[in-house]
Amino acid sequence: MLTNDHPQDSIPAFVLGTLDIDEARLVSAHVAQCPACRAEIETFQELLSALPYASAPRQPPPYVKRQLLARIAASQIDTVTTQARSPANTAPRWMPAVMSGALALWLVFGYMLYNTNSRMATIGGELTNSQQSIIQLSQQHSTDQTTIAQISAQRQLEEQALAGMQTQIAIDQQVMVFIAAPETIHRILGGPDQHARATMYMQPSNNQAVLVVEGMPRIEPGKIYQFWLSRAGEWVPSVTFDMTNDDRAVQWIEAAAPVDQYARVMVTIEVAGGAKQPSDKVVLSGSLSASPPASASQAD
Amino acid sequence: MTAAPPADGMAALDDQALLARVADGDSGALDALYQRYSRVVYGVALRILGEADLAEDVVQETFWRVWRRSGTFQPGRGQVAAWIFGIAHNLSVDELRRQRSRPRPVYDTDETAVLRDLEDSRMDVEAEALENERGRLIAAALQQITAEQREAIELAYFGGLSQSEIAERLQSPIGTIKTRIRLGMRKLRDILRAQNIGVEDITD
Repeated sequence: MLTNDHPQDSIPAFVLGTLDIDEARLVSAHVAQCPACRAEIETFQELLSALPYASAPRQPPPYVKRQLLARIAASQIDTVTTQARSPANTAPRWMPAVMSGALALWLVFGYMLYNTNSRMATIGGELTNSQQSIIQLSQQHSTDQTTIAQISAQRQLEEQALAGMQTQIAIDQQVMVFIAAPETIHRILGGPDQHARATMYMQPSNNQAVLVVEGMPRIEPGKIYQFWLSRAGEWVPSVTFDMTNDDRAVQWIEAAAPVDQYARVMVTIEVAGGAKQPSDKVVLSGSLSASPPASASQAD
Repeated sequence: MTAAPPADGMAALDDQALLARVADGDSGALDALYQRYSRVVYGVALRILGEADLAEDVVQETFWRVWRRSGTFQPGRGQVAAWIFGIAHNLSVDELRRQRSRPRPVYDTDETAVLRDLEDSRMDVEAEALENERGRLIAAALQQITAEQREAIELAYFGGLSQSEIAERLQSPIGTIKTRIRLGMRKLRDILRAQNIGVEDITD
């Protein structure tokens, strides 16, 4: 049985997390080496499983789970990437790992990559068709040089488009590697429009960051979205972007200083070309200093 | 895009079996735990924090920690649900304390959460049954303690206040608050243990 030395009377408050900090430390230290008190704590398990239901359960928005699963997928990629690296052969070997992991990251970027890949496949198919057409025309000794010239010109355009797509894929891969890095943390930006939302991925002491924006309101022609960072009370202009073609935009942010030296960020609507000072049309904003909740000591 | 729902077999597994699979790196098992408990976690975080964005972060961070720390869970020491809720509660209270030292943005209202809820109301049938059963049992249990005990426990759990903060808030002696929490918690524990809910988690 428990004796007077055991903090028996404090255990209900301890499991509820309401002990004042000094007393909580004492109880915690005692419990760590007292099987009897741990057994007493376990008698509250049913209550601790049930108490949360006193607040009405609510469905979290679907993107919470998407982001969670993307984070898990990214961590798995990172694991694979790390395992794939070897001291003798570092640079090229992680690329296949990232490529296979890209399937998992479709949760976030699948849509973007799918678009890019399918457009590339279409262009590649057209390119093959063009080549076949040229061969056929040559074989037939056609004298229609104009047609050949037109097809060649078309082929040149397609090759340029293909190169553009390949560049885009390379950028997408950089984004994935950045987000998958273990030191990457994220901040959520919200605004008055409940559909508009952005996640900013950043790393300590890194001037670069990645901004994933979705659900932005339509803006009138001649206007553009602009990203801002705030330091020492001053808003510093950053990239501009539009959302005319896609529901989701991914922006690389390159700041003058490490991103974690800025206090806040926001997205405003500005006249096309961007502004030096932000307008009052703030669509999204968020704090960079607000670190995600850090400890769950009693739960661990 | 919507992630694939958990495989059919997952819903039939109990929490400990799911957590064991999570520890083996099975994200489908985590998905099943998410289906089962994310609504409760979100409900608690919203109640504590009052802001949808912050509560969403708590949900994501809670299940991220479940993913990362599933291997550290010791079955002998408690139930999976209590463990998950403990993580979520601590994250929420930590964030609440941080928020108390900062002004609130004007646009952060709870109404956005209500609207967002409309986007996805799919939920697990068993999770719904569990919610209904546990909701009814805890509500009934809370009716059997005194209003003063209920108030103190609510301020502690959902208000994130320490006993001395509750005493200050209610202008009551600290000893009175301690007694209310001790007696109230013990009575709730005894009622729920008598009901034997949650002992084997949900599917056993």
